[in-house]
Amino acid sequence: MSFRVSRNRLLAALFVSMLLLFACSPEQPSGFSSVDMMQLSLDAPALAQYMLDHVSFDDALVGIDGDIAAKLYNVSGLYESISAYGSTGATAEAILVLRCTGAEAAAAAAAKVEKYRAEMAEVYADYNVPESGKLTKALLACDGKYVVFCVSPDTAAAETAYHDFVVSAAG
Amino acid sequence: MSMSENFGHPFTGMPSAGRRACAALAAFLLSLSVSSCALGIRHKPADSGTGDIPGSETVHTDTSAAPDSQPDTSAPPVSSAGTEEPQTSPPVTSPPVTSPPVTSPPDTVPPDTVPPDTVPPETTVPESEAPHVVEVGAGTAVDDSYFSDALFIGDSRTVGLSLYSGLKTNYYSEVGLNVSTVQTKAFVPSGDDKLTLADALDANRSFKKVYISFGINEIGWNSTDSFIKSYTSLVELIGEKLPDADIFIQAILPMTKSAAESERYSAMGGNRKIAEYNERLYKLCEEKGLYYINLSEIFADENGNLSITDSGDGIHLGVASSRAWADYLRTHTVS
Repeated sequence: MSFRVSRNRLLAALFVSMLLLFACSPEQPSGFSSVDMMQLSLDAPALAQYMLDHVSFDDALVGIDGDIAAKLYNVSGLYESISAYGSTGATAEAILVLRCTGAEAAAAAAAKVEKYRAEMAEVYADYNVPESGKLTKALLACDGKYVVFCVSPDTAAAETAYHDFVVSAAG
Repeated sequence: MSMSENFGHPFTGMPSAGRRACAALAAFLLSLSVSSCALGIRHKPADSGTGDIPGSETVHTDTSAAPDSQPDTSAPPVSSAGTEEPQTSPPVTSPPVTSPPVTSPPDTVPPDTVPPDTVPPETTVPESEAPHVVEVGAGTAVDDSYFSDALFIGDSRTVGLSLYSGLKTNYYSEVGLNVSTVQTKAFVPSGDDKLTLADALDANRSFKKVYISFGINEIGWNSTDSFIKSYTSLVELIGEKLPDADIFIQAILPMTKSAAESERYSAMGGNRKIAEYNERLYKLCEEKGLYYINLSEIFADENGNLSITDSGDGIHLGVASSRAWADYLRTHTVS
């Protein structure tokens, strides 16, 4: 028993370490090699709004109160700024943008969002299969102190919108 | 243990001697034209004008009307305060139709305007006919602190209520949940884990009001009896875990006409099935001494279809409708 516990702890520690090393590296953020995402100051609500405006969704997404969104994604205490949109229930579509206190907090938040995504994909697999597919393919980016999550029918468009916004802000 | 032993609901859980005592007290209060009965039934708001259900046993406190002849009516229901939309009439197909508001509460009638010999005979309600369920009537809007000890349990529609209504309370809800899976699945967040409803209620027994909303995910079930059986099981589970809590069953909201007539849902019975479920849920409330929240009052049109305009799929509510739902709950409470 003690061996299994130790092994589980070791695996958990390894998982967290991997997240910290690769998921949110402040020096080489995914897709933004020329942008220092730790130094860049992004307006989270503006980014969320930009994605809402530049990505096509099947449902009319609605803004979610920050505290409620934090509870929904279980990210309370991990962020400085939060902005979220959600579906009325017809779809799994969503937008979440977090500006965290640092890369570690962002990694922890991204892990929470990933857990949410996996759980919801499982829920929708029995309930509405196409929405489960959207969740599986959703954009979940963790760059520097930012976490961006976008569930849409067109993940490529979401990635483009995110990229364009960051480049424009850095420019 | 039986339901009556477990629930904290006054009627169902009250010994017969207690009920007789309460019946006598009720008769006394009725003779004084007090606007609510005391047969162990939760009091409706003093200014409540709705709640008498055709076909159900009710205590009529308006002495100007025969106590057992409250007519059915198709008059518009009392509008809920603060709701901007939608403007609807009660659905024709929905069994619980509300009565018109009592425009002259008994306690506002000067006592000397009616000669003693014309006062209707004192109304005593036989114990066996005493009501033990109340469709929650309209009253003054409560502050949201009223919901601080409330728990909402439901499916994606309740998720929408939690996200968009502005009603900050406690929600145990998940997309795709139904009245069966809610009793078996671990879906209640607890830190990084999830608990079953039973375990979550074991961990937190502080709730005093439980609002339940299920049914839309179950309209494809073959048997209405199965739906009611599962619903009864859920209610019993909650009653066992929270014996002092009031349980409110919220009417299943219908679908819009277009959604109901879609190939998918029409094959399941559409809004006709929902009306059938609601009728049985109402009877369940009667049997178990629960409260029935007749949301159809504001969300169904005269044909029993969802009447809102901000639903993307004809099933789920938009922001304005979610807020209207919360406003309805704020004005339909029990003391």
